[in-house]
Amino acid sequence: MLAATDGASQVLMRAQAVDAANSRQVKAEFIVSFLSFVDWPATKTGAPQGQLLVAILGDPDFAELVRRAATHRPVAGRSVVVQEVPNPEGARDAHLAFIGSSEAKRLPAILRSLATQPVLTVGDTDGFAHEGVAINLYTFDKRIRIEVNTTAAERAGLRLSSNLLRLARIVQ
Amino acid sequence: MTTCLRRLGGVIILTVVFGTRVAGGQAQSAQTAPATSLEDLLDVEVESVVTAARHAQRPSEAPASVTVITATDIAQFGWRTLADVLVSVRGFNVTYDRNYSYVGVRAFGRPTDYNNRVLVLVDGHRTNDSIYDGAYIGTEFPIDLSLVDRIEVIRGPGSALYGTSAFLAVVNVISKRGANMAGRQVELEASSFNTYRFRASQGWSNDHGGEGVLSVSRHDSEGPHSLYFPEYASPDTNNGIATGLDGDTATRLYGAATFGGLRLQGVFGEREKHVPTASWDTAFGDSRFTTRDRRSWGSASYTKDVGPTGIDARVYYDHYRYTGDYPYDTAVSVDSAVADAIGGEASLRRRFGRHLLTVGIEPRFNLRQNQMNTDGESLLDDRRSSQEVGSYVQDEVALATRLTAILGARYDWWSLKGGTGRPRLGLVYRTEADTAIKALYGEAYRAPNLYEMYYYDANGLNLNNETLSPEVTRTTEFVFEQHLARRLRLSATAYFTRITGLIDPLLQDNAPVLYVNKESARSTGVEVEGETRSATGLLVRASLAIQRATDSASDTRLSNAPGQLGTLQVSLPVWRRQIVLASDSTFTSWRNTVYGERLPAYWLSHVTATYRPLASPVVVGASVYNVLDASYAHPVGVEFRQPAIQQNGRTGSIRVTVSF
Repeated sequence: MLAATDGASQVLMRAQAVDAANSRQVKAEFIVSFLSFVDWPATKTGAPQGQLLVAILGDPDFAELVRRAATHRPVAGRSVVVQEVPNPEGARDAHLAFIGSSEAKRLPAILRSLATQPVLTVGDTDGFAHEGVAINLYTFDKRIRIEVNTTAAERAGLRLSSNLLRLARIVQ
Repeated sequence: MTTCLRRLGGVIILTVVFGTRVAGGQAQSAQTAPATSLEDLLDVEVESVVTAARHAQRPSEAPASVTVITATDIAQFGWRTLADVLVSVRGFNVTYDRNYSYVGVRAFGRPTDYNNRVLVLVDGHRTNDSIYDGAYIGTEFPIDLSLVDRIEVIRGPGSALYGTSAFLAVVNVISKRGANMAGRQVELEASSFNTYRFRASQGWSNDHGGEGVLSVSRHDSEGPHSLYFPEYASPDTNNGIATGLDGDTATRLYGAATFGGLRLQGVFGEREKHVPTASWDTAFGDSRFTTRDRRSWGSASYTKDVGPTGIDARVYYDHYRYTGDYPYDTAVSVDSAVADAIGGEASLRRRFGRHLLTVGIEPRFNLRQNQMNTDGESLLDDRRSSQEVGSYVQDEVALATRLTAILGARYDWWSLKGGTGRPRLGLVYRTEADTAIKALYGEAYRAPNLYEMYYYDANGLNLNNETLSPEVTRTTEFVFEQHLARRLRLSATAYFTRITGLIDPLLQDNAPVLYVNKESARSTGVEVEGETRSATGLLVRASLAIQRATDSASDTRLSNAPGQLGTLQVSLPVWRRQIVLASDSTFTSWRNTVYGERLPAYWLSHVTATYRPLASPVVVGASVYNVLDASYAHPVGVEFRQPAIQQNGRTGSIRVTVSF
């Protein structure tokens, strides 16, 4: 498939650029992509070997979209497992925790609960990055953009790839 | 390495967008699909609909049955006018009387209503004029379709948000931004009947959200060399043959720029049409019969979020002019209308807990709304001005995680006809995986326009009627939309519409055209639509509308009310995806003319091939319209001696676009 499209994908991209996509599907793709750009500390425990755990808080529909986006897409040889969790305690073992906008009121409590854990927090709600979520997705000019709270990522003991940082708006 | 990633990512994103990543037969990619590059994800344009609720939302969330047509659709199917686009929309039909194009919605299309029951917006600006409340959808539409990013079609009454004219549907044309128009672009198109189109555009954008587009285009067509009208087949009217009388020339200028939250837009469009049909009892075969239409506006809009409150404000100046030369045996009657208006709108949007509240106000000052007619002596000189103000409120309440209620109302006051208020109610239930069930009720009104109320002429062809009341529509609709899998989308709709006080011309032999409030009419129907995209890039989209529009008093079918409409669109990338083959077909069942004659059903098919060579700034497109050379005619209004006007047979077009 790839060989046959040597260069042709540019044509595809041109065609795709004007064809609008479902923003939630694209955000789900972002969540899975982020897993390739993070180094977790060697001390990270709790998740089974060979798995990357993604926990979704407060957005069950989105969990399904992320699950589909992750299907057949191992990251660095590890399969991605998506779980819908009812409370932040359920996300402590996860590599990445997505916090839905319905959790805005509980956000400080969620962040406190995850503070000591190497969990990459991700949101898609205005202001989340300022409040301490490591990566937040926002929409500008009909496209999805990334903002990163580097302090929050450092506190969690995570190292984000420069390839991610150079594409992001740094908020702290 | 970066290029490689980009390319790889390009394939993946495309398949994400097209929903084909986990494709059967693509064993290798299905097992280990490579990671998508972030650059490419950042480049994906995300879908939203702004017209249905006046703020961006997903089509499945919108409290309406919505169709979105993208720039890709427009390019690959070779659509040249808004009329070409609308005829491809489920439940829509278009008629053309060789002067103006008219859109019918859900079996309801009154000939020569100048589209005053459909609100056509350009980036939110009302394009319906303030004399006929008419909207232009043919070559007279002031925006070149190459500048269009997408078109949102919202079915059903929209008066609760948009006021008068949002009666059957709202069509919002959203222009491309500078970032989508990269650099300079020149386009040349040559078509049958000595038709040429030229466009030159320049787009720019910077990293701080600034962008702009400038464009100029010109369309020039001689039209078919000769047309035959059997109703005029007598020796003193050239045996019904009109020679060289179908010319069509249009000029369009466009400019827009955004600086931070401020957006400026300027639009100018002017078209001159030669009219071959001898309508309005003019002399047959007279080359002086022409209409000239000009639409232009300038607007400044400002968008800002202040804390949790979204603010949109806009001011505009709008100009409209129409002039028609109507040749009679004794003299040429010059008919004209001119309107100027300044207006504005402001809306606030804020979330309070479970409520998303939108309130807005729209004042408009019609500085002049003049209608004139002269044949040397003045036959009509009607000069007016008026003021209107509309205010609306809409609340979207999240009743449960997946259930949203929409409550809206709008009140309009117009100095010529007083006030009227209209509500809208909706329930939208969304399940997992983006299935939506919507129950909707809406009311809309259309105020009588100045033409219907005040136009008369001393020749005795038209009579005024200042006593006209607004016509009102009430629509109940159920919508079901489902994404069965990422590759298949289905939707079904059922609706019941009742129109009371329909404003329509009274049909009497040898009597002047007089607009009256008729008793009432109703339109009921069901529509189904499906779309699928395969792993090879094959797109198939089909729809069927079964509908019936009747006059309530007599229970007889309205004229121009086809009982079935079908659409079929297919596109397929071939030869390393550098060529896209596309075909679009429409089926229109039989319908009556205004004189009660039955016009036969017809299929109309167009094919278009688009060649985008790799790493080349040139795109070449070629289309054959009416490829089966179907013979068909459109019903027209009471001002024609012909009950229907024959349309063109097979025609062709070739266009070249160069970016640099």
